[in-house]
Amino acid sequence: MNALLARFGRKAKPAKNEESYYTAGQLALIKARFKRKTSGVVAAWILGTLVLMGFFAPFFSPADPTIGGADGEYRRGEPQVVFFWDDQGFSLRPFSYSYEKATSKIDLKALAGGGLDALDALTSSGALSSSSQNKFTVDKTQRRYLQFFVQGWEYSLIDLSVAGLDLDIRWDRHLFGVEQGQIHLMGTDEDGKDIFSRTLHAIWVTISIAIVALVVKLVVSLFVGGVSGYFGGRVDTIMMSITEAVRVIPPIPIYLACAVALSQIDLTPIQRYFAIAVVIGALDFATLGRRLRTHILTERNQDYVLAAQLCGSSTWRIIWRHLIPSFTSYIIVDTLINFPYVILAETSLSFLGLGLTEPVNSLGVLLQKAQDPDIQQNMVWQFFPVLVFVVLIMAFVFVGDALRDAADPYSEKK
Amino acid sequence: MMINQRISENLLEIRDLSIDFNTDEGLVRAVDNLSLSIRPGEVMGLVGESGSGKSITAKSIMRLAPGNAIIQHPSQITLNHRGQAVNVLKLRGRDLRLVRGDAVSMIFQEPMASFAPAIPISDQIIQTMQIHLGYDKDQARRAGIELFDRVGIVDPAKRFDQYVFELSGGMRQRAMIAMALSTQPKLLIADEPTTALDVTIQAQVLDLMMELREQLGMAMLFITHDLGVVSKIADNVTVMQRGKVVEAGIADQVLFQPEHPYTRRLLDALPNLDNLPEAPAHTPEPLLSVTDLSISYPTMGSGRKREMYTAVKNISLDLPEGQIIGLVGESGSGKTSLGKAMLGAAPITSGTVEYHHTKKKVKFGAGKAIKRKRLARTAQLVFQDPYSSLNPRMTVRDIIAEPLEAMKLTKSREETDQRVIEVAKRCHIEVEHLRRFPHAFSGGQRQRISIARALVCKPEFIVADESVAALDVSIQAEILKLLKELKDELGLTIMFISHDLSVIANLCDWVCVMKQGELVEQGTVRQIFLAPQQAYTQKLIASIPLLHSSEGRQQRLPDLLQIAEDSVNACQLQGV
Repeated sequence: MNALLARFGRKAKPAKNEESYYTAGQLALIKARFKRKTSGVVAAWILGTLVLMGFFAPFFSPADPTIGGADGEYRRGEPQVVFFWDDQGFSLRPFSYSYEKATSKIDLKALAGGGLDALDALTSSGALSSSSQNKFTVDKTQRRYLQFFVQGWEYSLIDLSVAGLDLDIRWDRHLFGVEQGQIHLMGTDEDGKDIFSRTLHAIWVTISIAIVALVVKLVVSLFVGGVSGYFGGRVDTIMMSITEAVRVIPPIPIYLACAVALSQIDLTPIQRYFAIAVVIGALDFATLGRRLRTHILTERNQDYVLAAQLCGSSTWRIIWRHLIPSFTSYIIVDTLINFPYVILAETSLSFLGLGLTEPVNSLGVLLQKAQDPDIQQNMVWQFFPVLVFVVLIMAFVFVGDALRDAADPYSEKK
Repeated sequence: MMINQRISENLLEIRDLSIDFNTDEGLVRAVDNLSLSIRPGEVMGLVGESGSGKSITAKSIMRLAPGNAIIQHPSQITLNHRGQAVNVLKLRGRDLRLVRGDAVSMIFQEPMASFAPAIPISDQIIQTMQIHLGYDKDQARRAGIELFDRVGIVDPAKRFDQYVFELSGGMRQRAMIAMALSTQPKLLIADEPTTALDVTIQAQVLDLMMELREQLGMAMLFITHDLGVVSKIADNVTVMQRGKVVEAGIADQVLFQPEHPYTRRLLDALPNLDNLPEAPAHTPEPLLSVTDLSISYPTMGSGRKREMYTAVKNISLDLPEGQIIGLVGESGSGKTSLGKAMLGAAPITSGTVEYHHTKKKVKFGAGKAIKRKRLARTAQLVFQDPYSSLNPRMTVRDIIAEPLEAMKLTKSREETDQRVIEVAKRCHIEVEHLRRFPHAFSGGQRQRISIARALVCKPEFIVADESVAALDVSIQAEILKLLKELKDELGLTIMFISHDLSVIANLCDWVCVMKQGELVEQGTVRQIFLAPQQAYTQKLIASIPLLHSSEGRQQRLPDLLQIAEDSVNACQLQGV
């Protein structure tokens, strides 16, 4: 192994590193151990890229994903491929071609004349079937070169204008675009909205729902688990009975009930979005709460807690300096591992049509759309969000997995 | 030709055994080029500290080594079975039963964990006999009860059908031995069979094993870290250190004329009753007095139905100032509860604890609130487990400084650092190591940190609760030396709680003996070890595995010497 590293210009770990291992804190140890697992590191890079692209979705998107940015000229259009070279030669700057909607050759005169033959010809030509509506002719003579940092629709890069604070940083530059019209890397939907841009925007919507849900979940489970574990006895028995009761209720009917309740109240999509996150989070506390309780129960009986008591530490100091640090890493790992499940919960809600609905971009909404037979037959490129979804979930699972293995750096030296 | 004959004389022959463990850090050598042979009827003692590779050696004889253990070429384990040499490392499938039960049996350290908890012992032994000896059920049952009788279990027919949790510790190990003997093996491997037992029971089990070995003529591979135990039972001894054999030979030779410094170090840790410390000329004033102290713990149920278990019953005791007081007792005798009660960490149901000669007088007891901070500055605890007693998420400096910071005893960070460095030097912790986290240290170093933490707020009294029990003997010696040093230099009073009489004899000035929550006897080390008054103390002292060459062994010695000489001659003839 060392020989291999040496070949790549890296030296075997010098003795000095040993000292850095000994003085390494918890985070440094986790990091070092995490780096040893290649699948985790690769997944972390993919995950980081996806989340970053999601967060700065407007910048990375060539088109406005709302109906306002829909390309009327290119509805139901297939992905526009980007080339570097073609018959006319090589170009350093990638280019696409211009697309022209194929006009169907309908003989209106003959139809107006009432000829049955003409009607036959019309139906058999396929002009009426939806699959022919996304026929575009590619004009290979007219290259459209990709431009970088183009000016486009204005968006807010980072919006921190909460509670009177005016910190909305607005920008109108986008990573790439074309001079005339729009470029649709992944095609468009039936309204002409760019699938690529929609997907990027959807990533962040979905992840932020997951973050809100996980924060709510964490607060509830910390409260339930913490109180139950620290006080024990009768408090523990009662709280754990309630937790178990919540645990056995299947989640989908609860989501259904909540969705009905939410539809009664007049909510904007954004408000509904937060309501869903809170519902998902609040109902999911049982498992983590129970685990935290067990963790506190065992940790509380460790010798070092008794040692701290005998050192004259106050209860507050014991909780703050000794107990809480002992499970922060645990909470971080658990949260990351739970991310995909929360995303799945949101997606399944939207998929059932109970969560967010069409105009909003969320992975669940886009996934729900993909089950339309029209899309399955005629617009397979709308499965792009499914692909992104699968990659995102896998990345979360692999990172979570590697992190779980790395998270207990003290387990190896025993 | 002669070599072949010589091999066939041996029941078990291990040659050049090397085992590596496949770990995250790459291959780690656990056993390095070990050679060992056992003759029929011979007892071989395999001695070493934890991590020396003795258990993995035994397990690989049974082919029970874990999956990440790689047995390297050209290791060889040969078993002489009914006149045929069997290559153990090549056995597969059903053939493995040859070493697992037919010819070799094993006794483990923890009998509770070695029996299936939900199946009666009878079923487990009967099944073993059915498989290996082909007995039918009734036959096996009769043989099993006979075995139970033979290993000294009272009322064997009743005990035979019980579950393992219904038996006491000593009884369990006897049942384990019965099970190991049920297949009539030629070789019995005993992996620390008495380490988890109290000394009195240890003595009984050792006697039983000696007796059985005389009766059945079985060979034994006896693995232990305790040279006292070895001297009682073994004919030949092999000493291992870090996977290597450092010394091997006839027991009396190795034990009385050790050549390797490591063997000598192991021997130094044994109690030496001829060299006990003199009692001080006058008895010092008591530092603290315990009066009519009782301690009870709730066991089952809650509220009114709660049952209480009384761990300590009405103990009155004065601890002399500036001495090391040993508190001895078997497991469950209440010694730890008593120690914790002195620090206000156990539920006192009646009686008081009073510190006399301290800076500020401290008195607490049943119904009297503890002034925690005042007590913390007077008395501190050194724990048994050096791993769980240090917070793994704090640096050594923070751990040692914890009492100062928690009680705000220092005015500035610099002053804290100064105090920490001072106490670290005293406990022989290198100052550069203060930045490190506990995971960088071994058990012995961790225990030094634990001691430094106890000393940093300058207490006058320290309770050391089994503080060296988890350490290897050679490291034990260092920690004990440190405690003695601290007593002499700081005038500390130390209460040392231990089940290990050899440690007590080496360390303490004054000894208290406890049994089932009551104080049986107390006196100077000489009084307790050389002239014990109470029957229980006498029994306890008699069961210490001292280094001795027993009469029985001395009788056997000449012919063993002869055999050894023969083999040396044979080697010389061969020019080996």
